[in-house]
Amino acid sequence: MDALREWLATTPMAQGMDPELLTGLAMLTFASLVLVGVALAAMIFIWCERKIAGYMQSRYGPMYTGRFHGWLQSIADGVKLLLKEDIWPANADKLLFRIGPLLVFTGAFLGYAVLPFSPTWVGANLDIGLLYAFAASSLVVTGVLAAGWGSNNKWSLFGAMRGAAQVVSYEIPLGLAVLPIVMSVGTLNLSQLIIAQQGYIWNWHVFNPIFFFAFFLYLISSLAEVNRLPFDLPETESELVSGYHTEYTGMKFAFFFLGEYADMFVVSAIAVTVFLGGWYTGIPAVDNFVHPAVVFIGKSVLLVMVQIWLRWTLPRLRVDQLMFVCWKVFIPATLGLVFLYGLSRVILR
Amino acid sequence: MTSVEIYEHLRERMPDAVVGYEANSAQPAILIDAEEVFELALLLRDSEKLSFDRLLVISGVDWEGYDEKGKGKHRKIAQYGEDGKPNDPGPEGTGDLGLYWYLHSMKYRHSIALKARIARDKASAPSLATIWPTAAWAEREIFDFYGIEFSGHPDLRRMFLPEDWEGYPLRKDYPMPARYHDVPLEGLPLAVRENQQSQEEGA
Amino acid sequence: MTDLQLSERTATMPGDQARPLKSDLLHINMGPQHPSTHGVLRLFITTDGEIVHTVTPYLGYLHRCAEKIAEGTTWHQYIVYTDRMDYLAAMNCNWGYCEAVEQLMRATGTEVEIPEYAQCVRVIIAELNRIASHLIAFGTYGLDLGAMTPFFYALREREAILNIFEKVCGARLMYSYYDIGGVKWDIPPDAMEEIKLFLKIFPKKLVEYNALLTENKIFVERLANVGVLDRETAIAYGCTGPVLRGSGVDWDLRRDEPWGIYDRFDFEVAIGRGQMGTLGDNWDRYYVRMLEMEQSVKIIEQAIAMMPAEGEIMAKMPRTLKVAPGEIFVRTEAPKGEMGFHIISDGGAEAFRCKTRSPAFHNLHVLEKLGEGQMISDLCATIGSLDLVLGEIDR
Repeated sequence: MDALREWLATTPMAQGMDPELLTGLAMLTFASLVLVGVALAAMIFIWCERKIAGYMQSRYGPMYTGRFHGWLQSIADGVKLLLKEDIWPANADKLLFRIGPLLVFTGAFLGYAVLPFSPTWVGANLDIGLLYAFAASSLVVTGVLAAGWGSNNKWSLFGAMRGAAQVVSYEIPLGLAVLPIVMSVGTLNLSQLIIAQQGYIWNWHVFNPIFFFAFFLYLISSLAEVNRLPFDLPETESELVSGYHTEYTGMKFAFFFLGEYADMFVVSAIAVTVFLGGWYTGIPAVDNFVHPAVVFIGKSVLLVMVQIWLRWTLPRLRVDQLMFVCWKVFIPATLGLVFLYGLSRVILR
Repeated sequence: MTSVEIYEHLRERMPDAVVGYEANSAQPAILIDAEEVFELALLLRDSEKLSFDRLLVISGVDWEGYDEKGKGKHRKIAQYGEDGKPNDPGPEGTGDLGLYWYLHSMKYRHSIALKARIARDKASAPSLATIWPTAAWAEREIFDFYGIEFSGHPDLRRMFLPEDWEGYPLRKDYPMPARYHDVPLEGLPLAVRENQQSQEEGA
Repeated sequence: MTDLQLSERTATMPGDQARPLKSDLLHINMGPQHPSTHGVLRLFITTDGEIVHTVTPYLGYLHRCAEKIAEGTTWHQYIVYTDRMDYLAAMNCNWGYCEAVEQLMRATGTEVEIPEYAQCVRVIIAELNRIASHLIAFGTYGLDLGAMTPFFYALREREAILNIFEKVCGARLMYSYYDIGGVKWDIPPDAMEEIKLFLKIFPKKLVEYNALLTENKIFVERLANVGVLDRETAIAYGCTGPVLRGSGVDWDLRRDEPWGIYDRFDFEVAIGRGQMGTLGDNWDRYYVRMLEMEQSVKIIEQAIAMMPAEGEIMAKMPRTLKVAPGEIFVRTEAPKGEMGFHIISDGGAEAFRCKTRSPAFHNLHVLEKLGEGQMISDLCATIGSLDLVLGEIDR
């Protein structure tokens, strides 16, 4: 953000501008860039998902829109959603129905403010960056509940209740799983967490024996956070048609979709930051040639692909099994890891 | 046990219920009195030698117009006229209704068919739903199509047709109604018909 | 007959025994349009959130008056209507009806001798359709539970079978292939080659499916100990087919009351053994279908081996068939269970009464018992394991 502000200060239009105004302009520019990036990324992810799903299911995915493997399919879908009739269910709660998708998207979008794409390309280099990211993504729950209740549909309410329970529950192992790393590095600042992993690939946190398990616990909890299979109960396609977003069409539905893929990227990016070395390639010699943002985004995209892969392979869990896994397996496991790491620090001092 | 042996066994124990034995039909069947079918069923299920634990099907028949020589005329479904009333619905049927149960025993691997005739104006029979639970739905289906009321049935209501349907369709004298809640049951769809009418009125 | 108790799992659910919070029951309609009710089935559920208290199926959304129509169409014309009953296993329904008419004719004195070649063709085609029907059961079951990929694999194999059927009789879903006295058309040589190729490829695919879904930990967790149907309840409710065999009852009409040439085949009857949980749970019923597909492959191989090089496909039948007066009830083993036809003839060219005993109808009845105390997700799983086809339930 500072880099952006500096660059803006050199532009002709910013001469003689109030410094506060310049900061505001920088913030606005950053947000717009991220918004455009998120929208583009979501479109690409959706296309990837459809192609990967297709090839896993021994069929092609989209092939016609845009001659080469349907690469324009997402854009076509976006245009279609824009042009769709905006249907309101009868007796829907006007306010809640409207803000549901907005809250979901905002919750996901806010996480982008702290993602360290490169040492200089950070929106806000907060010292509580990690905490902020988790807190911001909690906003999604309110959106889900608003959508489910506002739809005036019992099945949507089901989906929303399940979704709220699931997301709220899995935030705990999500946060606890990164706690050992925070203890190790000593800060919640995301850039600092990456810098602690500089050097060769074995410096990455994931290769530390205790953090290795934390990584997998984090990965699975992040699937639950984003409502992806095997944790997609809020939107179980086969039971609740679409769960809390059954009654949505057009742009509102597009916001839900965008929000889901944006959130997927955020949790993957945090996993990359905390466990997988951030913008470091793992080979110091190569680090000089490759732009850090490319590495960071590349690794996050890889994790998103893993999430897509899991979605099309596994069946889904039932809601009580999901809760069981969270409260009786993951939380003790993550707490155990925190304890173990603390113990190891004391012993190995 | 063969069908004849089962028949003899039943006739010894419940001579009033068992009316006859059809040996010369395609499948031997025991003719019974419909009123006694409940006690008979208890005997068939609980007796050590018979042990019929499966009721496979209950089938209803309307014997109206049955003619052994194949000369019986099947009554066609009545056509109806402009006023919505059936043209020439034909006289009310007078023939008997019939019931048919087919039982099977897992233990002894034998099976038997029971047949009964019920007078049309007194269309009722005891329900076997408390003996074999599968009878509950089979009897609802027969009630839906033939109008035979099963006494003692836990939940006797129509199975396939809507609750407020009138008439019992599989009876041979059933005139199909012209409409069901403003939906014409024959001919062109309502929208097309109304369109045609309005065109005629406009022209 | 035992009362089915609430399953172990629900007895330990917190809100179940002592209910400090007085909350109302939620009345919800599942269907008639619903992704996982396998057709237009309406289930009226009363639930207190997630746990179902009562399930009441409402039928009739696909009722097409087949039994009334039977009284106005000739014996041959009705074969087309039997296709539409269990439309996923139309060949088996056709055969059930034709078998019933043929047995009635034999019992009332008309000689009906179906040629050996036609008998073998009948068995091959029926078993192929059994595999196709079970593939759909397997694929859609995965879909109900969120595993969307096996569905495509199942359909890919089913495409092979449907291509074979298209070569044989020209249709992919509603075949009307069986006729009273034999089959309508011969199997062309290239279709026979495709059948042999299919038999070579398919067992390997079954291994794949077992690895992907059957032994998948999440899948087993969802199905084991859920929807437990014990033996007595299954028999008392008239369940047949894989639903009955999944509860451990060793009964298969193909072996125990064979019709056609089924007494000449050597195959195993798959029954549930409670491997992954309780005997009679959803997983057992599902696994019985997987095993039955293997056995069908064996039967088809034996049938091809015992088929004469060439032969007649139809017995000599009069042009307008008139069946002598009589009454018969004949059951055959369709993929869903025991499909029966109760036929009364009055000597005319049309049936006097033709009632279909639909296996899925009686299998669905047991859902009222099984559904109590389950969660809604489990209800979807149980419905999938019963393998319903509304076409034959509603007729």
